[in-house]
Amino acid sequence: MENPTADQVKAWLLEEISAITGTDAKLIDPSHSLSQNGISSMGFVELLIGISREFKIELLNSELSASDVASIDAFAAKIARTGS
Amino acid sequence: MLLSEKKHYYNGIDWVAAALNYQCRLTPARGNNFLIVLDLGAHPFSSAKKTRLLDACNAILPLLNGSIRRAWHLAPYWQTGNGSGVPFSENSPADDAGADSVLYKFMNEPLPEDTGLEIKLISFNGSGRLIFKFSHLLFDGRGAELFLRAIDGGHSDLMAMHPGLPHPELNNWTEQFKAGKIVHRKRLAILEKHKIAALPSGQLTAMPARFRVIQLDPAASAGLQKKSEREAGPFMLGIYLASIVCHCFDHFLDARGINGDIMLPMSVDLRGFGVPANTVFFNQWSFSPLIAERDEHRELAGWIGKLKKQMMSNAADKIPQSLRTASLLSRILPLPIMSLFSKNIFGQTAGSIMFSFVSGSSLAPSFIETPLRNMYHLPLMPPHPGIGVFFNSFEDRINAVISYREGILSEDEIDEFTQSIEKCLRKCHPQG
Repeated sequence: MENPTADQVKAWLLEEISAITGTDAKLIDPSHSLSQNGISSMGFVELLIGISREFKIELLNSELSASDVASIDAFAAKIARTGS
Repeated sequence: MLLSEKKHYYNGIDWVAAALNYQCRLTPARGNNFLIVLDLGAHPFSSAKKTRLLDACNAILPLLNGSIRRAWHLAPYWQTGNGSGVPFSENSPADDAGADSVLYKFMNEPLPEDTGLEIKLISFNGSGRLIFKFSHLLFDGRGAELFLRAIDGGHSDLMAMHPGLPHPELNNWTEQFKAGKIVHRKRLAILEKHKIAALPSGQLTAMPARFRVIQLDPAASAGLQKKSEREAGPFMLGIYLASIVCHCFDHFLDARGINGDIMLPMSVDLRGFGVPANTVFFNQWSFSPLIAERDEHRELAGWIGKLKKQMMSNAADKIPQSLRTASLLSRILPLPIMSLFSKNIFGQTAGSIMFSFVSGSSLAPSFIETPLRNMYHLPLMPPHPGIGVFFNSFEDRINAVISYREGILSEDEIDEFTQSIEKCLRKCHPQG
């Protein structure tokens, strides 16, 4: 998917985080941080690989900051901005 | 309990740990052990607490007191045993130096035969250290923390958690060979392109283990975390710490005139989210082999970039998971051959320097109602490659332990290496 919207990214992120952490997607709170939702550093790397495959966006060397992962909403917005 | 329930089959990484244990057979400790040191914030650790601790440990004695066996189909397993209670001793040295000396002596003493755990309490100057010596044949670092958490929580039903593999995993051969092919290709690709720099460790097979500890206070730890987020990105503290190790080790290799690239076998915890209860025992880790070229980009940012790229590429190729699956195949090998292979996996070496970071401690800030000031892991390095840097976090503190075999570095060199790592870790803190 190219040029995704923040909502599209968020829906994808919820599914992916659910698969990585084994948590029901309905129980994932998008206003909480990635770590609060159970993402570890290995899980984060898995997410980056998925983002690269799904949205053709390489986030590894981009200017990711702590505020970008302060919530799933913020992370989705960052991905959408980077992809546009 | 049925006899079959006493068999806990080894996974492939357990067999790697058993090979490392074999490599350590001539050292004073005679095995691949590690310690967890609890710095007690209040003392004395009363006799009632000691009784509670030992009762909880002794409740799972059959599992703690065991040994490796092979089934008729060659799959190795942990055979539970009996024996007496968990060994426990106490020392009361006069001061800090005396406490360090007791710790050094304890880490280099072998575990009593067929015992997976031994405990020592050191009391000095109104404070204390509670030290647990674990065998890697039965525990890994995170598992040991989970074990202590379970002991603290009074869970004497740990045996019901079906530790180890319930079956020998002799199925799924196609998957195992496929994983083996991925791992083999990765290894060949590294060997084709790189000469691995390593310290000469051939004569260290009987040398004692030594260590240095760097303990960062909460302010310095927070500064380090922030600097890591700024320079390496979020969730990259492990890579940032690994980069610091590469940066300092590179200078050291330069001073020694040793050529080649740095191979950092980074251990990766494969436990899933939520830490399933049945992962307390046996080894649940794998390796992500990170190769850091000693090219022109040897400033910290250069190492960060190289290691991040490697970590991504290893994760995309599922190297840690493939290594774990592929290593199931290795269980057929006798330990001397397995040991030979594991110490020469990258040509003439197992790697340049070992690295691990056990983050997000499972332990509460108190243990059996005794407040803890700090907690750190103290692994004993196998003779090959003979040196490693091991980080852990506890509450809001980050600790680093440099573990090495006596003789691999001179005292001056280890002082210098420790100081260079400490300087890098504290650089971000105003008082550093």
